[in-house]
Amino acid sequence: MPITLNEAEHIIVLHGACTVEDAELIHGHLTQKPDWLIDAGDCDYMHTAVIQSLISCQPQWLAWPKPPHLNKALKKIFCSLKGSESNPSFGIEL
Amino acid sequence: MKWSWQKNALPYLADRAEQQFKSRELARELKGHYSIINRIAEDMQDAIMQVRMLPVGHVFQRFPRLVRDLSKKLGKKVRLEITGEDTEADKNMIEALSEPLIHLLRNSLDHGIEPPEDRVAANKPVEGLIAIHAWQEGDRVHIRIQDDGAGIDPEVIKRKALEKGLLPDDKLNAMSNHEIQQLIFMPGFSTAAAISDVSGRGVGMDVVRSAISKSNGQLDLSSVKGEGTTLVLSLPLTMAVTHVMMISAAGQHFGVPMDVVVETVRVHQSAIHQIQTQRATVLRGKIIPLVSLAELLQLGGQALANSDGEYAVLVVRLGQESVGILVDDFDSTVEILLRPLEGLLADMHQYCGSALLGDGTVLLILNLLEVMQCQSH
Repeated sequence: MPITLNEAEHIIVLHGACTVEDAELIHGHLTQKPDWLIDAGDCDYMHTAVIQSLISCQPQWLAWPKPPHLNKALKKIFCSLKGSESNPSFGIEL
Repeated sequence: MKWSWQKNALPYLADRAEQQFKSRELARELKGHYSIINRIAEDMQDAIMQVRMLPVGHVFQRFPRLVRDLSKKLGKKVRLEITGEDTEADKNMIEALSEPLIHLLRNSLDHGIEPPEDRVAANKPVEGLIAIHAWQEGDRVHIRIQDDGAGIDPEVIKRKALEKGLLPDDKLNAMSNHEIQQLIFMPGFSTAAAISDVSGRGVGMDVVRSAISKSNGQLDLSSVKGEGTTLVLSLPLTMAVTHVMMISAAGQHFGVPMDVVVETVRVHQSAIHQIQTQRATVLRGKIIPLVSLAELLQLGGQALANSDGEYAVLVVRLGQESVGILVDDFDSTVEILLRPLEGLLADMHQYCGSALLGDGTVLLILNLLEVMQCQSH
């Protein structure tokens, strides 16, 4: 399972490959725990459905995935979300 | 869209009838009906396609004026020859082609064709020639832009690549002239010393190639120093319906457009050789480099061999090279309506798009050329 919950520090840790089956789970966690952080530092692959779940919940990021293409794509997506006026409350540090 | 999805649901239903409800007869009937509906759908698609087809000359008609104006501006003498303008392609495809073609033509004029005095010195006719030829081959349209200009000097490209730190010295020295010429497609590469207002508009050849690859097309370049450059664009006839082969890697399903698939083979593990860090196999006397899809996408795990110790290899053609992609297994081929990733996901170029399958799941269609490039960067 590529998702572990760090209850003490309120962090959702993603590692390895996050597949389409994990999207619903991630969405569920983030809906229930909207203030939890995402640590994807050890995540190598994200299915587009996972990315869409993250976009819809707009969590705060603790660490981005390391693979350059994924890192770049995610930063671009979440930067544009941060800049969008329809999401004024979005407060990630990039 | 809905029609195609409903149609593709029938084989799944037939499988369920056989597997879950143990009714082989019902499954057979369903499959029979599916093949009839499929044939009717194909006939309808053919009829609709006929209406959507436009001659490529539609894009070409802007070229004579473009060439005339630009050659005047650049002080060059250029003759433009257009053939095969009656070749037809889908309206959307022709529209998608327009900008990349203009950019390639501007490039040929600006960087390819030499000024008249240089041509005379090189014993060439004063008037340069740009020949555009379009033709259809199978379900693809090809457009060739050929000039008799200066060609691409591999030494200049090599020096630029070194200056820009794109590749290390040892790697450049190991590359063939043809491979070095392909470096002009690398992001951030521009050989023009000064940005001219003709072709150097900050849009590099990488953008042109990626625009073409977005429409499922390919762009091949070959050039001989002093003799000229030939660019061949190859695009599917239509963007509407795509045939994809479903494959699986690390338990995940993906689609690969059929037009890049050369063949599917099973290779015994003893026939896979390790050459330094690269795996390869020999198919009909030709060395095919092998890469694992699970590793490319960083899905974790290795490609799985079957009980006979054979690996499933999907041989694909990327540019001018054939590459073997190690997957866990091949699945059926399906006809899908490709929906490009839009909005925030539009920049994820590793995927051509997604498609809804008959069982309601979403299949991601890989753009293998981009996946390989992501890996090499």
